[in-house]
Amino acid sequence: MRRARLDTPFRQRGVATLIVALVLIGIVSALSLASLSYGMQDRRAIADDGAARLAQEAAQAGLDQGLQFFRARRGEIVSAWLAGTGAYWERCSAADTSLPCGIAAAAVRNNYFRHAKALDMRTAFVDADGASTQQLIAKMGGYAVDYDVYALLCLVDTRQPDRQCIGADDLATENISADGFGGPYAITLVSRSTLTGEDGKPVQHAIARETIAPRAHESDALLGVVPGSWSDAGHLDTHGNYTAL
Amino acid sequence: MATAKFQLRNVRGSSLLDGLSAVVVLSIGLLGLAGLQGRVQNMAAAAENGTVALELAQSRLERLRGIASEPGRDGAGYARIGNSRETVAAIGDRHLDTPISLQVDVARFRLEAGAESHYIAAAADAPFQVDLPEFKRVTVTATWTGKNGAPHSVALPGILSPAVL
Repeated sequence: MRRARLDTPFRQRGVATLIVALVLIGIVSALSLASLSYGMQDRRAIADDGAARLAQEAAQAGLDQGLQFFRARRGEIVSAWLAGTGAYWERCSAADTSLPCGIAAAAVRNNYFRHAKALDMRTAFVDADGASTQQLIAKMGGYAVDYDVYALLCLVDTRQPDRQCIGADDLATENISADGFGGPYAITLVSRSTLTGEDGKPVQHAIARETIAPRAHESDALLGVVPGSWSDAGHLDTHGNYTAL
Repeated sequence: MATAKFQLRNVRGSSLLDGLSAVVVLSIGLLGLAGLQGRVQNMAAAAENGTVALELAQSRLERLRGIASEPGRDGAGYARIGNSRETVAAIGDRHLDTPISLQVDVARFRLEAGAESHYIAAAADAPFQVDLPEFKRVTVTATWTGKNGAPHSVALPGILSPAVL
């Protein structure tokens, strides 16, 4: 009698219903989890894209501030900083692949001058509260922002039709006097930015570069952005006449 | 025979109850998952709004860069850049889910000549001098309201220089 009750259709139908319900729950759960996972991935991708954009803007801010720094120091760039003792600029070695020399091709790297460290811009910028500041922009879109700006100096060889930088062997012929260099020059700025999250971990990096040069026809020799740039091969690729900038 | 009928009824009733229980359990599960989906969709919408806001702020900053670099000895384009505020409800033909407010705040700095010359804050209405280096620190802030009514914003600062040709 007991065995007969255990084998009734009642028990079998209950198990079938349970299995069907479990399968349905499983399918719906899998679909929902897949959708949730896709949504989270999508959100992460959007956040990464936003951080990349902000890092690029931060690197651009570094370039813009670097330009202002050299505008403030334009009277010293190729005079006091180039000649005499304690010169600011030093030649890149061909083997130096670190910033900023590393952005130039090895074959022409030695034609550039570098400053060994990132620019110390504190002497040129004073914040609203009167304190010297290295960065004019410290926060961007909820992230803490850091940018280091490096500079490469090129003394333009006016005798070369493709306007290469003057190499170490030819420098004497260009007459660097005790007052400095009298010819045209260009500076390539390289800015490396880092975005840091609330947890203090770096989220995104970006690098940007730009070439600035004095406008030769301006008596006050304001530095401006050259509409073009130095190629990695060391050629000045400008849209127009360099001397007219 | 009577006992057999009673058992069959019991069996049919139990099966129905099983089915109903399964439906209830499934419904609770589905409601929970639907709620989760709703939250995911809200998060996706918030992320999309954030992306649109950042794009608008970036676009505005680029436009200001373009205005600042308009050639001219008087720096007229650069001089025009000042504080402003506007609300964007659509981009082209596309209407935004929520209007985005764009605010531009400008701080002007000018070189103070000296042995170690440095930039100091300058008055917004001081006349532009072509031979005196200066720049404007611009912050474009995009603000919008989320579906839950909470305010969101993204601030994009930049440095603008006059193009003097």
